[in-house]
Amino acid sequence: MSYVPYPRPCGDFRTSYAADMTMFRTRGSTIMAWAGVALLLAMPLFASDYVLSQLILIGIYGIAALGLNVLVGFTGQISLGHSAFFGFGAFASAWLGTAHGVPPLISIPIAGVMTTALGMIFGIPAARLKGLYLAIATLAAQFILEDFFARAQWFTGGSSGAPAEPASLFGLALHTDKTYFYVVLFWFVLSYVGVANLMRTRDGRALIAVRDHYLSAEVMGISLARYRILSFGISSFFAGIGERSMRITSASCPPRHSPSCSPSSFSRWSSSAGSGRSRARCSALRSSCCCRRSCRPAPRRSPNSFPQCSRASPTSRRCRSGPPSSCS
Amino acid sequence: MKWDLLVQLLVNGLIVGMLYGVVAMCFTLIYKSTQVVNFAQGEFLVLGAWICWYFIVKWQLPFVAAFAFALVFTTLFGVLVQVVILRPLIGEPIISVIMVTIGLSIFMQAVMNWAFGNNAARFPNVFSSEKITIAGLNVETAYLMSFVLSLVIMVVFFYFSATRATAWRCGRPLTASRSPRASAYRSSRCSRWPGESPHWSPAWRVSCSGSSMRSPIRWPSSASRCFRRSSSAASILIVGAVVGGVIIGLLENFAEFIDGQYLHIGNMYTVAPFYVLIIILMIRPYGLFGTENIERM
Repeated sequence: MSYVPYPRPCGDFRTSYAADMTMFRTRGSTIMAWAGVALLLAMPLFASDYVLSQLILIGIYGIAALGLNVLVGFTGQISLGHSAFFGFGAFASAWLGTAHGVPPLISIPIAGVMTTALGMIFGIPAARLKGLYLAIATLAAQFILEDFFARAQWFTGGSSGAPAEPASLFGLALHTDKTYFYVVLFWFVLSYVGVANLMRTRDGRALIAVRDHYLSAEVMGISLARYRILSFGISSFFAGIGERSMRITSASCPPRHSPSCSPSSFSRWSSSAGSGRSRARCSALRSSCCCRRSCRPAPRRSPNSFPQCSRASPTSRRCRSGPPSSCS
Repeated sequence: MKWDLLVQLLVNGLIVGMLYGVVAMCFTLIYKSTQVVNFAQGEFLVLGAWICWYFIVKWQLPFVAAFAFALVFTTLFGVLVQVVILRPLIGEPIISVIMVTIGLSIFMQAVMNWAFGNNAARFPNVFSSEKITIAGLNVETAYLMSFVLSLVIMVVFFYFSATRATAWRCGRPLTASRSPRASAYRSSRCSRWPGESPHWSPAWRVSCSGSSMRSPIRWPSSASRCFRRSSSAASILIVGAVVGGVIIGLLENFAEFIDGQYLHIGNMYTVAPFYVLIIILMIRPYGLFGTENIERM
């Protein structure tokens, strides 16, 4: 085989907490990430307007899908009403801009916070529900919100849609694709770094534990209701931010927009959401099982096919008492 | 208070609720036997209606023949979907199942738009008289016929599940496979049969849609409401589905009555059941008739 500069370890060989807390697994991925950001920063210099507009769309959807990843991929909850949150973020920021004169760049986080609140309200059923029943409840949330959009003319601007002012920064209007690209890139990088950091925190590990086995998590002292609702809130925040970004690109936002990107378009994203698992799962396993060597990359089949160590089963007891090699 | 309007609406709600019950029965039958949540069930219904419409309008077949053809077609289609799409999903995480069936529903919507056009088509008049008056209440003939048919189907379903050991050999593996997923693999029949169940309802919908065809969008939504009525045993399955369907049907019409008479908010017919659904799920997380799974670590 050819030479690979920074090979990815064929397992999890980190031996210190500091190594476990690193954001990138290898030096190679660190370099690639920085190079990617640098390339994107230079993109408007040589890319055509069409490519730029596509990149902007990619960034926007990327942010919103990131939120869904937190919910589905990391917490294991199902949301079919995510597109309604996405739409709510749009209307909220437009409403802030037109009714209260909030400048667009400030209204992005504010709309994100409003969407967070909404997501947490509709996440309350998630505290008690799981699986299919949660899917139904979030689907109901979708219909309720759609009804709200159609009804609240003051909020959505009716069927004609809400006008959005172009964003401006220090008097510099950001209405061209070139300048707007940087706004999206900023929020994109910020969101991804934020979520990557979230997964290194106590709360992030709690979310993963809830996904891996909710009963074990509860036994370990993790409040299920709190973290499920929190997860809904976080994911809605990114939906709100992402959609707010979209609002600036398209000058107006007919209510049609949000319902039409029905649960379906988001469920497509969540197929990639599942891929956020492998590393995260390992770290959750590590927290529940003393035996380090057992953290082989988990097979990505079904939640039921975890390595035995993740459960508080006789196997894991053996893990603790026996020598490390016995449970590899 | 307009009592006659209320009674009229409630009668309509009862009839529509029975249809919902039949749809819910198909949901629960599939879900309980294969653990597959079929979000494309609404499209199955619409497909059945379109096929029947096609045979009547384009081929000029009599209604009964068209109905039979639609029944056969949707049966075959249900088997095809089960074998090709749903069978590999048995035992997979529920999010994958939901995504696949939602994808299937989008695909079917697109194909039906392409094949039958975007606009709602009017079903030809099947029955001689549009309405029948029973005890001062106007009931559409199509609704009445569908009410009778849904009763028949429910009885057949009940018989199907009650006498599973003797008469119909397919019933037993169907219930046997419901809770432990592994046992679903045990007999090939149990994974084959439930796939055929989707056909019952679409064919059904054909008759009940009698005079008008609603937009395809509406059906998946109303059908998905009936999800939560899944129940543990096959016989309770039917009871739960029917009760759930009737509750939804009555609720819709009652909400419309309250809204039209007092509140004047509008659109309550569509939205009220969803509020109630969330409230019910908050109180009983496993549905009205569902049994709580006692889990161990």
